[in-house]
Amino acid sequence: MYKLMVALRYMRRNWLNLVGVAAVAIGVLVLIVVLSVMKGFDEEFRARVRATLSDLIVENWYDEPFGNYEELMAQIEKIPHVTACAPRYEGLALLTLRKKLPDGTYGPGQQRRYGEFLGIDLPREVKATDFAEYVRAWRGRAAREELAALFSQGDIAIAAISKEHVAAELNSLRPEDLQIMDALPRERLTAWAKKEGLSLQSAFATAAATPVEWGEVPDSKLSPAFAGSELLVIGQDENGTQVSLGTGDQVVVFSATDNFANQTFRRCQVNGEFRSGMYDYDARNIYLPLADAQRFMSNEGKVTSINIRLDSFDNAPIVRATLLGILTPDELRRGLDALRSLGGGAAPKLKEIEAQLKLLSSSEVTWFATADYRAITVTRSLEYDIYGALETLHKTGVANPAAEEFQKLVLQREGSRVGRGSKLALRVSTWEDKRRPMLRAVMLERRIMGVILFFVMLVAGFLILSIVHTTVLSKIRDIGILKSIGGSVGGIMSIFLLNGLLMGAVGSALGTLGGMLITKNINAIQAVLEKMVGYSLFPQDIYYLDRIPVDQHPFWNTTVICLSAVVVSLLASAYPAWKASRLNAVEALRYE
Amino acid sequence: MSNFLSLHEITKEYPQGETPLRVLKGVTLEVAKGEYLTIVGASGAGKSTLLHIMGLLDQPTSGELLFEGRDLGKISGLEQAQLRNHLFGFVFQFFHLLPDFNAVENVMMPGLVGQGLWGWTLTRRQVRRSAEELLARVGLKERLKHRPSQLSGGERQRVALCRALINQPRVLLLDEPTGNLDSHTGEEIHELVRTLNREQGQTIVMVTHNEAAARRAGRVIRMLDGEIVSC
Repeated sequence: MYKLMVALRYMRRNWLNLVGVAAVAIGVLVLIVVLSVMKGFDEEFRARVRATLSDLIVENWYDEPFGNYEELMAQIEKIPHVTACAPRYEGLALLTLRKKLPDGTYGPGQQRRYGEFLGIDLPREVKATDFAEYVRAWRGRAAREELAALFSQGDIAIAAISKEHVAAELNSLRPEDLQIMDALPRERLTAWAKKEGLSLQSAFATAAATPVEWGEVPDSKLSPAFAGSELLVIGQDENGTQVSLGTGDQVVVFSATDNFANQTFRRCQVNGEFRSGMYDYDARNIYLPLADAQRFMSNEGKVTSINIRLDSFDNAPIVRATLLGILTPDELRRGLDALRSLGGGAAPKLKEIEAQLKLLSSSEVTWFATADYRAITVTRSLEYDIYGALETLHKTGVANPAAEEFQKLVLQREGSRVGRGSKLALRVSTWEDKRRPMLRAVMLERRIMGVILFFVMLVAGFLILSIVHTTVLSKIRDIGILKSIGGSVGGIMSIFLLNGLLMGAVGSALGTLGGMLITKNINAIQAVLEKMVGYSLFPQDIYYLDRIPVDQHPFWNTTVICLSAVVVSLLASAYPAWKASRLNAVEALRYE
Repeated sequence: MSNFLSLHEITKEYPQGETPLRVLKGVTLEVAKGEYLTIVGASGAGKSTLLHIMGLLDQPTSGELLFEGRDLGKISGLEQAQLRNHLFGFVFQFFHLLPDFNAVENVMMPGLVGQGLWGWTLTRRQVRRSAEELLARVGLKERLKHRPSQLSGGERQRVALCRALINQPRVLLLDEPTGNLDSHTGEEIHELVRTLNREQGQTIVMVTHNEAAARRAGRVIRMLDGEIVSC
């Protein structure tokens, strides 16, 4: 242990060691702060990329609308961990924006866009997805202000009820907020409470339990709609202020199908805006009532997807597996037998099909069967195998009876067109599956950033190398003395390795401390800096964020950063330490 | 052949142009246990080199170095380091104290080097106690916390002597210990060394060109140009 004693003494006697410690500390600090803010942004970005997608999404295998969804949803809701599900009808559309003119009429339309309409069942949607978090109902603005005033007047009872109610019933403020904003101007609430003979408190609670409203639309030919905040922007006026659609303005939605003869349109009255922070969604999405979307597409009683919310996204694989489990082993066996029976005496191509079906028959693929549905739940990679099997089947042609039977029996491509009484193939994906490319890009970005920032660590490493080297040079005689009193090669080496290690460890500790302090107070620091430089460093209108997001759980990141800092310090001191240990004792003693 | 420390046909050459510089030309020497041996000779005669080889600080070009019948040339570097630690104690002409450590720490150092990774606190306390005792014995009781730069030459050499003794070495090797001291303090050091030999039977090998000191030693050998000329 004399090594530690000597190393510490040398460090105390040489202020350069402080420089080394500072270099490591700065490196660690920068890495922690930057990576933590990047991770914070990533998490924010993930939420935005996700927007209104729920944990699991069920779709038709062939991306076509399917019916009888209520039954399917009833089945799904029975699965453990599923807390809610909501149907949707989504599709592409051409949009025309029409602002109300001063004379009360609408012009021919100021802007044309392409976009996506999403028919949603609002009461279910707010339970199954984060929809309510992203919408702002204009009609309820006055009500919201009133409510805020109510709270500020000290009507604690109502505030308390609201909070309690939320905590107990729905775990989230949002649906209620939306509801209160939309439905509860104070006069209405008090009037209604008086009429019903309720206390204000219970009136509030009852009202909070009633479904969200789309808003009133006088004309039955209009659909109430929430449109993306960017979609609503139609330009600038002569003063340079942004002109957007507002209350009472219209968006006309044209169906974008390949059947021109059947092209339809639906006029929507915009009652609120949707703002996710992802430009793509905000510039394209328009939300209408599900029934209106179905009618508009002449597909009453059908939906394109079902969003499933789970108690925790961690349970997504379990629920997927449970979906798999709905199919009994017996059903699986029967399906496989049917497939195998196709092989006998059929065209040579069938061998190929069989090979692919063997893949299908692995545990990763199975059929989820109810009276009306047959769901294929597959992992992403196997999807291609299924497509491959279908492709091959198509190539074999209708002349092949076995192939034809296979199609009918298993994949039911034709049968998936609801109305022929056949079963339906479904696909179950997580929201991450659906947004994989974007999520991967972000992941990659952070990794690359980490690698680049690691060069800061390398610079600190070079500094440590030269500091330890200087120490060795100034202690050559000491090295000779230590050798003469029995210091071994390893012992001498340890002294200088310890020197580097200690610089790395102390630097890491200080850097971590500093990094934590900065990330914890980054918004306060931002405010101070903004005051000093006089302009906004973090404009809210660009990022849609009211504060800089930071990583809330920096444990692993910090651990990795500190470990790598220590390893770099150790490696940097290895060379001078090795040189020191190789010195000849007699020559070192003579060294002046 | 004695069974203690013996050197046999030791040579040492340094590469130097065409013909290597031969510093030692086949030295054969026996050191008996408890002996007080002094090596004298002009500078450049190879006395110090011989002492370094004897104390495993330097490697001979050829020849054998035996301690109690064991060939010290054939053991590993780590073992050599261990032997330097507790078999030999070195005192140098220029004291060679660690400037960043005070007197007692300098004396403790070989004790700390010798101990393993564990038992840090326990042995450390013991080492400190014996270091303090040694320093008290050479009259430096009041100077324990002084750094080498705050000590006089004689004091430094006494500290160095204590350091050489802390691990109770079998052989004490002194390389012109008084070469850098005035005659009075030099005599004090010699007196200390003589007392050690006389009272504790400490084996001592000393290199010097102080003839007066040499005369009072047990045995004197004279070296000239890398060879022993008289015993």
